[in-house]
Amino acid sequence: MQDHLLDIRNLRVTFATPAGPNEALRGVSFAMGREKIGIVGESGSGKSLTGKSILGLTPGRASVTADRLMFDGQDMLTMPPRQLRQIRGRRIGLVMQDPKYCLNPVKTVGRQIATAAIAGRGMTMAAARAETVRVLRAVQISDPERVMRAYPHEVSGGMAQRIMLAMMVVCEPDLLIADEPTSALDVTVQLEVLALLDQLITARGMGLIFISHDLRLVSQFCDRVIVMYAGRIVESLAANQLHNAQHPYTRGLMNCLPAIDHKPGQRLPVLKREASWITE
Amino acid sequence: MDNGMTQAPLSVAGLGVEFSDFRAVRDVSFDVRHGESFGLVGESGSGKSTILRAIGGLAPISHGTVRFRGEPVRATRSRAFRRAVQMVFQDPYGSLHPRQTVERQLSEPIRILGLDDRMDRIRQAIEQVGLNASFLYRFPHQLSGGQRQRIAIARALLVQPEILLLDEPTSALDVSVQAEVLNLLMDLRETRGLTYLFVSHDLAVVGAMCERILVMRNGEAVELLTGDQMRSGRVSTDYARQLLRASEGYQPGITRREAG
Ligand SMILES: Nc1ncnc2c1ncn2[C@@H]1O[C@H](COP(=O)(O)OP(=O)(O)OP(=O)(O)O)[C@@H](O)[C@H]1O
Ligand SMILES: Nc1ncnc2c1ncn2[C@@H]1O[C@H](COP(=O)(O)OP(=O)(O)OP(=O)(O)O)[C@@H](O)[C@H]1O
Ligand SMILES: [Mg+2]
Ligand SMILES: [Mg+2]
Repeated sequence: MQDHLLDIRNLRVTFATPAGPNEALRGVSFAMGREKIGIVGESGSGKSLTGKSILGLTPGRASVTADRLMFDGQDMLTMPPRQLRQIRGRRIGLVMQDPKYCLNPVKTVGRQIATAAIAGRGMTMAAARAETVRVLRAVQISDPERVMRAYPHEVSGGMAQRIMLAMMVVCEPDLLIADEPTSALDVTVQLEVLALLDQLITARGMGLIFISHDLRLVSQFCDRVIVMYAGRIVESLAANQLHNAQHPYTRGLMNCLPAIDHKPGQRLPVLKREASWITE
Repeated sequence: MDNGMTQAPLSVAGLGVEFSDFRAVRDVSFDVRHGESFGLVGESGSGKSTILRAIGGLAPISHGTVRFRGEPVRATRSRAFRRAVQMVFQDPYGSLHPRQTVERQLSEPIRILGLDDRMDRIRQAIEQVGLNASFLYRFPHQLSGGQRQRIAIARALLVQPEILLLDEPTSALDVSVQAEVLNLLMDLRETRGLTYLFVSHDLAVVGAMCERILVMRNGEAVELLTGDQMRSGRVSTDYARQLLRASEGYQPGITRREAG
């Protein structure tokens, strides 16, 4: 057996809904080392759920099963909850898709990041504060002192996203799962944040799961791309081989990319989804 | 469109927004013309959402005026304003009620407008954003990020507004679903003559949707561009040039300091 950082086999998540059972994940399997993996796929295909399931953060009413869920040689399926909590935050960080909703609304930004640094790296309060300023600067927050004093509702959407990322990065995890970490960022800031992630990965040998709906971004930034459709992985490719994608969803998406010189008002190309994509 | 003759449905003059001693928006002015799609772009934290919130009465107007159909708005927005202007928030949780099912939230505007064919209208609205009736009995937290965003758009459209304030309405959607939503917005603009104030960090999206684009930075307006100018890269400020350059994608090693 290889020493994968993460090894998932046949992960399934089902929700009971009034409209019948919703099989949101239908057998997801992949393994990764200390590399940058991108997960792409359309809205509702199961990207966020995959990330949350790795950490056991699926809602209570979901039924979750897997044949294997190993992190760094440890079996997360049978692990006692206390041990799982230790891994969460300290060794695996998750940047959630809705940062404003996930940050604590009654604690200042500075306090939340410092608390994470203390819990994750055993820092003193003074060291944690200094580190907080440093990571906020690293994610391109130009006035960290003001932002540290702010509450989550007092920062912008893109700032909240970067604050959430800073809070995870400050713990120096071995695996970072980042769910749409740059979707609210303008391109210039986005490039800086990606450069920061790149740096961390090279310097610390961290593994990254980068969840995004942006095929172009993922193919430029990651080593490998996993494409999800309707709760399954339909394709897995080296990022530079995206032009050789086989699945019609992947190929279709590449044809839909709007160009900056698109004429205003002209209708954009859309994908025609086929029912057979769900089963094939 | 006979400019000058028809009144701008929405105009902002010398707008300033302050939070305690922090100035989030400084001296920003623009008109949104009838039937126009006006774009706001710029760096994260530059004040785009704050401008929309100030127009909608959700952030304090410290300086300047916001006019709706030529009249300065009052602290409590008029009934006409609330009827005509709908906002889709950047954080879709902001637009949706956490404890109501999708069906209930979509029914509300229909009830207020006193329209019939409730179920048909709801079905049409949800299908227009690429979803189906199986989502109707879910709560917001039971949806994916992009599904929530689309429900928020469907709800705003059901109100049959004249002006939509759209804050990053498609930022959580892949290009195909995004295209469906943008095409829908373009159709509605043509058939119902809607007016949009459209915030996005994605220049390709703004280029496809908007005739005029205001570039923001640090709470200030940097440059007003026509769509043509933006698409052909004929911009005059360094910051706008930097934005255009960076939109070409991620290249390892290139950072903000070097780009531009
Ligand atoms: N609590 C829940 N109850 C029922 N269905 C759920 C629940 N949470 C998620 N789902 C469904 O599971 C599917 C996968 O959701 P997930 O959040 O993983 O999508 P996603 O790929 O991240 O999409 P997006 O790009 O829109 O964020 C969706 O169809 C969603 O509606
Ligand atoms: N209620 C508030 N109290 C204090 N400061 C605020 C408040 N709301 C916004 N701000 C500040 O105003 C500035 C502009 O925020 P705004 O949300 O308008 O930015 P934005 O351009 O929409 O950014 P993004 O693209 O990241 O969403 C930010 O620095 C933010 O911290
Ligand atoms: Mg998601
Ligand atoms: Mg914003």
